[in-house]
Amino acid sequence: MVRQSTKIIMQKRNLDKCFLWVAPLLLIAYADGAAKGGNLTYAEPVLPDTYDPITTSDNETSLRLSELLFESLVFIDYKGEVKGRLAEKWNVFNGNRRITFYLRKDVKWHDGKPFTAKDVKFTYDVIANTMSDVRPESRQALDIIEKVTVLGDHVIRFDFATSVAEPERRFLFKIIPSHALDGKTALTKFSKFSKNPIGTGYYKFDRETRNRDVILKAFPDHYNKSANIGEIKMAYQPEMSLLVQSLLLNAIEMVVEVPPGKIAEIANTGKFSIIPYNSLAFAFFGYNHKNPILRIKEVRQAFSLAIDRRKMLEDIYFGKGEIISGPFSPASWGYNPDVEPWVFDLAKAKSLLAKAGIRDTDGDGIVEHNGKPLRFTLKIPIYSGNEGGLSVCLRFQNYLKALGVVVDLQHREYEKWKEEVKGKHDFDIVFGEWLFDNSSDISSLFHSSKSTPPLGDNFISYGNPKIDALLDKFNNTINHEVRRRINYELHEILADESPYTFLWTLEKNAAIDNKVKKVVVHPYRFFTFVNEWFIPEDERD
Amino acid sequence: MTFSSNKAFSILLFSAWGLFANPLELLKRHRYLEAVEQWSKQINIDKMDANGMRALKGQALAYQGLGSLYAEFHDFSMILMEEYYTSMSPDLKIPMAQIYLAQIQFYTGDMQGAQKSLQTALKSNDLTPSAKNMGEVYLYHVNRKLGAQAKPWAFSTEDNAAAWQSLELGGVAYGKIPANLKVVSPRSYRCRVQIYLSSEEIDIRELDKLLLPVLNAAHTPEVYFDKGKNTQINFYDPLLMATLSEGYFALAKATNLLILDNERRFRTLASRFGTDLALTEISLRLNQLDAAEKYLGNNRTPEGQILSARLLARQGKANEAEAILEKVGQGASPVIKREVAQAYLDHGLDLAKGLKWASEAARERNTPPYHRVWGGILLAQGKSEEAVARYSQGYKIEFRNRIDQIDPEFMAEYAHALFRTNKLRYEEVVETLYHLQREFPACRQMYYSMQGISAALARGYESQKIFRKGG
Repeated sequence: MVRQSTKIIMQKRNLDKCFLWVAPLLLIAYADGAAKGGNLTYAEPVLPDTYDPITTSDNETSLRLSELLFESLVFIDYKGEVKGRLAEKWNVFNGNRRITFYLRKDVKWHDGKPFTAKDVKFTYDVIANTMSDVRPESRQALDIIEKVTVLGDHVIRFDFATSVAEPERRFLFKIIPSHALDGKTALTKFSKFSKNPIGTGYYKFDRETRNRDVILKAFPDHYNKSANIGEIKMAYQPEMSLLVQSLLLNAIEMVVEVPPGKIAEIANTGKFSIIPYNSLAFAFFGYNHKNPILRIKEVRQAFSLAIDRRKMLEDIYFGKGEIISGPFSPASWGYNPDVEPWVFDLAKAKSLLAKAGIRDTDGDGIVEHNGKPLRFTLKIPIYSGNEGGLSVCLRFQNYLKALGVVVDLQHREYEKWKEEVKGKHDFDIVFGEWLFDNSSDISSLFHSSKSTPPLGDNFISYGNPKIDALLDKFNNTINHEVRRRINYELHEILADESPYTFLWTLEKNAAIDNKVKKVVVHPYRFFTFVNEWFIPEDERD
Repeated sequence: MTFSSNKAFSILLFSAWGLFANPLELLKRHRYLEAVEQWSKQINIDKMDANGMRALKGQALAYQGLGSLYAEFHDFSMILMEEYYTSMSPDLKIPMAQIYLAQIQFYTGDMQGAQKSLQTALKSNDLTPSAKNMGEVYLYHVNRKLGAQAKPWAFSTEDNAAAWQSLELGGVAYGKIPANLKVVSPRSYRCRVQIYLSSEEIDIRELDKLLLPVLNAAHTPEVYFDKGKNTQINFYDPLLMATLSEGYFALAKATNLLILDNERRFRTLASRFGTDLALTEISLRLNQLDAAEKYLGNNRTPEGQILSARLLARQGKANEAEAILEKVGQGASPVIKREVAQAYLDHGLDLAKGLKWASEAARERNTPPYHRVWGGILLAQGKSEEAVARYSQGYKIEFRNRIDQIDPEFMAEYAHALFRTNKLRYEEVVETLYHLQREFPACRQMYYSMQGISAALARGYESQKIFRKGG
């Protein structure tokens, strides 16, 4: 009976396997000509900070636009394989210490000038230039490159200091034209090029309207035939409620991130597809460790215990998310499921504060440490679409009030806020969210060497030798199972240490009109496969 | 779940809603074991009344649901574990991964592959004696399957899990389990159930009792210390889900037999319970074809005919099976058409015909189970992108990952379809499995393997992250 039953199940499984990976012939009925044309308007609640792909760091709108405008030597397709884009082929030599790329000869920049190996070398020089406004991680990823040699108009060679596994995966960065910057390798967000981008991507920059909308036109001379959709318009719509209304009233075709409370309403129309993507984000309250009281572990733990995250998630985000226990999303391969999230327990929170010598000694309802009342600032950026975030901060303030802790909310313009928080580390508590790609690398968030601006993301100035050692080990191994184990351990320690109060992972969903066909979105870059999208002729407006 | 359970469910719903709202609600919300527990309070075996009969039927349905659910999990879990261990083997050279890969190859019938994996693993100096013991148990049985004339396996208690596994593979009777063999490892709990399931008679209480430790240890990995550099990797018993599936089907069958015994006194209920059909269906799932034939008898209802077609398909008479299915589907209700399509899918019959019935049924009734069957057939045809699109039609995206809103079988099947189709959506698969393992701890093996597969894919060196100002 035992084996027999197994056979039943296996039979079905083998049947499935027979058909596995058989290439689908989807939508073949649409002839190529009929697929061309049509316009797509999508809305973003935040303005891009730059149009160039090198200097953008924390702006998703910019990241998405640069995916439309620029290209890299290679890209990862939806099967996870490295495929050539600007590079036609490549060879790896010398025990993985050298890689030579043979570039396409039919690539033109949007201004008609030819793309050559000099542009690749120039892009490398821009990233390597410490005067450029580049994320340190991007620069570090190329640190291992010892020498770059242009061997011809369309051949370029990179030599590494040591053997590199799958070296082609290091060349996912976007390439920019040397002629547009007159060969100057220092690039900042405020440069002329950053406002008037020239790329090789499927779409070329047309203009920015007075409403701050961005118009992109399909690049007709793209080497891989031009994209199907003729024009893409990024409409700036800071009001989230209006953004969803615009979709429902057919004013736009796509919203890249639907507010959780609106998913059901949009889905129920039957007119739009909801596409989940990039669930690797998490929200948190970060505590500045330069503050001597916030440096006390029991204080941070008490704060984590004193807030009812489940209730906040239900009330503010309609329960569309998952409470987390550490610095990864549950969808990440680094998330340790054995670590349980802190459970709301005000009494325990109070006892932890008492353990740290923090009590209300004068009966005014506010606890003191060495006679000084506990009072912190929580800096909040002012921008539209942050209603959820504001509610979370208000709730946080009330929860901590019940603990006898005063939290002053300070509102700042976004750029000012960013400068104070990330640039100067001038804050006590901050509410934020990290969005990750699939690398699940948290070293820049918690390594002590990443706490000096602008070198890293450890703006809370957290330092723990054990965590540093684990992060170093993580970065020095390519064995993915060992890396996962390290992340599990990091998760366990950081959950206990509570440098952040880890809150939740919210569901990320795009909504797109069903008339747009063959939509595949990249979980992080979004528009990677946009050239395949199309609107059938009879469904165009 | 297939039609007989659906039908009985609706009868139960109709006749007992007011009295037993809670367990029914739990069943509807896919909280099967909680429903069983609630219904247990309504049953007095020594003094059976109509309410007790309904409660028994509810329990039978819940057990059948669990059997079906774990079978679905097992299918997906084997695929995930195979990919995970395969991805680990070449670059990491972890002999334990090869021993576990060999176990999967063994159960999927790839004996040559299993032999190769085991021989490679057993040559390694990194294996501890107990790990070696497990490998040797499987190699012995692999060699025998490949026709080697081997002496009877010398029973060894060096490694508890290996000892139990050798008993199970050796086909020992439940009463012949050595008295001195302790039941101390997750594998021992599981093998004990599997050995019990080959008994002539199944006692509900005994099986229930034996399943409990399996469930309690379901999320626990098997610990083998690898003397090499990778000592921390978790390995899970690959047959865990299959045993749970078979165990719950056996419980469903035993419960239905108990209902059958009592039906003479409750003729009205009996006429609506369709116990014979339920027993036929469960017997088919347990591959007990003679029993299925006996319970089916000469049932001429559409449901009975579909089961008869399923039986014929299992007996290798595909043409006869298809002829019956085509006839039953003509002018039938959407639910019957859907079940016809499901039969085509389950038994590997002509999928083009199955697709026709599935699409027809879904056009007539636009609800998740209909799109699911349609999607399943498209997936089996290799049209994976179309399948995902079809599944999405029935998948309530706004409630994704919530078993109270979406059938967990559908969740697993949809995740399976995504897994095959688009690596960019691996995170969604990981997330779905995260939710499933919280509800069904046995799914930890799927979640863990999928995390490993996702980690193997994450080879980008430019770590990308964006800091956002609040949610």
